[in-house]
Amino acid sequence: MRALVWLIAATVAPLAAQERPQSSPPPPVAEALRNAGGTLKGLDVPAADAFSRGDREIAAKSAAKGPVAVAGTLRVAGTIDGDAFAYGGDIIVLNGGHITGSAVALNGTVQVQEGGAVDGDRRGVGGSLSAIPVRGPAHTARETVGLTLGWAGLLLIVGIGLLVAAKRTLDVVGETIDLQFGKSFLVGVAATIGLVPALLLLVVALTLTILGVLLVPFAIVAYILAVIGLVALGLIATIRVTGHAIGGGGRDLTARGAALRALVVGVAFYLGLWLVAGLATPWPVFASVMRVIAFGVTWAAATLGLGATIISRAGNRPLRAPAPAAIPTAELAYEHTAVGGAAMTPEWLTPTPVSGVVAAKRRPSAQAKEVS
Amino acid sequence: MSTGKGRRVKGWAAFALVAITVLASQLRAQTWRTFDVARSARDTQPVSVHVAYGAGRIRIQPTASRTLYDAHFRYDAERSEPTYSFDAASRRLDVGVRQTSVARSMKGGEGSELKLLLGAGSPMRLELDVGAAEGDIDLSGLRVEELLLQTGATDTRVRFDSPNPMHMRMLRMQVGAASVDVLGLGNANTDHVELNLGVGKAVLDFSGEWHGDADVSVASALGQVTLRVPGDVGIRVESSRFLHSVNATGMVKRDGYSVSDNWETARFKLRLKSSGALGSLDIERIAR
Repeated sequence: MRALVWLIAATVAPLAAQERPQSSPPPPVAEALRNAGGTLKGLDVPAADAFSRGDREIAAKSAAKGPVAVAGTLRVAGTIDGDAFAYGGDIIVLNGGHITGSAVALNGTVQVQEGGAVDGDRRGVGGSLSAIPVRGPAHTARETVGLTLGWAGLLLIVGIGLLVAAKRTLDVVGETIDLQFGKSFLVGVAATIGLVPALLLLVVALTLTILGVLLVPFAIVAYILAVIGLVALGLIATIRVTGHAIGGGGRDLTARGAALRALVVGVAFYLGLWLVAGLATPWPVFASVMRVIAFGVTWAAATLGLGATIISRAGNRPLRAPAPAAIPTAELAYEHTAVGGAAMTPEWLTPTPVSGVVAAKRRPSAQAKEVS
Repeated sequence: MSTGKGRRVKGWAAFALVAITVLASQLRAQTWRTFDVARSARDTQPVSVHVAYGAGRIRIQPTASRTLYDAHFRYDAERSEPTYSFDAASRRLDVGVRQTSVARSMKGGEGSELKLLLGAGSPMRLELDVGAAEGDIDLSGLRVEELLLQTGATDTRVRFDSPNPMHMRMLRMQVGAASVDVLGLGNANTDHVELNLGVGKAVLDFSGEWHGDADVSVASALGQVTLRVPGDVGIRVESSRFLHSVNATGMVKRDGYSVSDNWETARFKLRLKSSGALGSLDIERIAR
């Protein structure tokens, strides 16, 4: 466990440390103009080489034909007939100063003092105007790893919630996976194919009545939620069965401890595939292969779980004997008691009555054993 | 051999470490930029303002200076880009932020902000599409001819703290899965309010200075709507509903409507048309 934690920390910490610094030297004018994006929309922006270096002042009672562009601060006491641009400095319109067009300051501000006027827009752009770097493999890998760990956390939370609140349901679905593996998978595939047609059928059926029409939006939402619930239940059950198969029974643990261990191992297995695919981002071919494998395995697990959930009527079917290998013996001890070699569920532990209606409801196998 | 307690402590420590690493991995590079754009008011011709803001925080406020509009954007250039245009001929202002990458916009609203100051000199038609942004819209004292508000999935508050100097033709709100509070509707100086609520909560507060009767239409699919109406305003409710409940005290049935006991004598009247599938509509009486 400790090794796993250190592995995760060692993997993620360097990736997380790759945050780009916020401050960087200002880019050349051409780059800044290119990266200013929509902030310059609607303006006739002069070319980069039209920006004169250093500060400039338009003197009082003098006029300049726009556009006037400077890479520095522009002070306007006279008139600019057109637009004014400044990069890396402010545009200050003094008393009596007038810009008939727009005033635009990139990495600066536009200040209009009392008695000054700008007829058009006053625009100021702040922050780095350097090019937005294309996300490299390390960035993508970090996001993928983060996403994978986030999903792992979510699955663990849902799984632990199910173990606490609906353990028996999970047991039944897990048992169904164990005993009816092939059938579960086929039913899962069929269910996946039939999900959309079934929804359409439901909607059509509801539209046949006035009351039903009103219920259509709610039915759609309920249907989607039900499918999500079934898939989640099935997937968690599959993860747990897989975890138990990989990690062993955990006989030295309590029933709950063994169940939790199976869940954690299962989550580590499935999400581990995605983690490897994420970390392999710098090697595109290997990453693609790993993603295909991870997707295929996850899809198979979800489909298998969905099928098992449907077969077991969302875990409402009684547990069968013998106890599935996926579920620790200790865990099922209170649910299964062997009597004369036959496993029995708790309701059959009641010794009486043995005749009448109750007896008629008894399972044939139990009755047969009794006769013998 | 570790004890049970020791194992638990190690387990929690491991969980905390994993949680921290997960959170750390979620930190992403951001390139924050600001964009300020303003224009002076040269006349009082009507202006049409269209704001489209998807995610983040949006504030709209009146400004007393000789300004037509003054917008301040803060945005993450890696995920979004400000949109701005003003057509001087049609006097239409478009401002907002658009997401430049769907994949990167999942947390795009975090830290983003738009503050828009609007001048009180020109009559304006306001169309606000605030998506999933948190909105604080203060229209106090602005000359609003028409207000269309569309929100998606967040909290928005609209305020009229002081009267609208001109008559507002229509105030229409389309609210998705969001919460909207509209306060001081008496000051809005409108006789037509429409609210279309999906799943969420809306409060329509009619306090303020009334100028005439008001027709209010509320359609709610699965939402909870609360109307706060001054005690001296007469109320008449026409309700067509499925499993929608209307809760109001002091109302009596008359000619197929529910009316307040001061309906005949009240100086100002509010005619409410309510429809909905599920949810509730509550009418509360307040002091003016």
